[in-house]
Amino acid sequence: MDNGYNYVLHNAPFISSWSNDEDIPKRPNPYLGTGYYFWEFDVQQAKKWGNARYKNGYYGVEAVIQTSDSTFLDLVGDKQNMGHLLLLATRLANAGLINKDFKIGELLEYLKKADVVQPGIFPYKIIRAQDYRNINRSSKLYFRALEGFTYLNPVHIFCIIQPDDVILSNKRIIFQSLF
Amino acid sequence: MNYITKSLLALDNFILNASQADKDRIWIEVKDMNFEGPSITEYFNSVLYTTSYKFRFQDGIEFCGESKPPESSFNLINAASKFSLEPFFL
Repeated sequence: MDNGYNYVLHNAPFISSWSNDEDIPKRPNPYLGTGYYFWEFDVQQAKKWGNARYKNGYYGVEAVIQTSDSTFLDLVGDKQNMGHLLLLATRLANAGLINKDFKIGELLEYLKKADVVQPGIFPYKIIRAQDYRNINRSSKLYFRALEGFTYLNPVHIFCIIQPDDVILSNKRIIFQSLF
Repeated sequence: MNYITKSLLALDNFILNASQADKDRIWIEVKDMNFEGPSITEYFNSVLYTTSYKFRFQDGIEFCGESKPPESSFNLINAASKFSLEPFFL
């Protein structure tokens, strides 16, 4: 049966697609452009998302994501990668090829298409980013009294642009909502 | 050369090509990313040797070539043939 346990286990993850057509009423565009999305070690976020988006029930799927330096755009833990993306964005904006107020998803979609035209611009297959929206006090640890802090419960999003058996393995369903 | 340096150089080439807009060139607009129709390569084979050309993706990405395209241009055409292309003249 479509959408049943075995179907989901066999076919997951499912793609979230980006659209530039603002005239078509649809769900909001995915944060990091078209791809297959995971939260990093965060069942709570997955359930929160599922409850908000899938009224008819959903499954939570876990998998191992294998990264490599040259194809992993890590916007969480790699300052060189962050600087690289900023440079790409700045040069495109200065050339007038993207708007100055672009969203990150727009930028990534643009870079993917530019890579078709000029291979090498965007060699990445996996992107990781942090959503800084919800920072709760109990997970903040201050360096000194009210003088900067580190945060121990970040929300990390993985977007896999093109999954294969090397990048994604050991899939299993770890929870399901009430149907 | 590491992949970041390579990426930045490729981007500079891309921007350079994108800035070479020429209204006398043939423009090709990419309309549908899911194009699986007849090969566009035949069309290009007929026009590429007589004129310069330019592609424009629906969201503004552009690239262009000369009347005698180098081999790399054919690679671009092969890549572009995955998309729906519609020629139009300015």
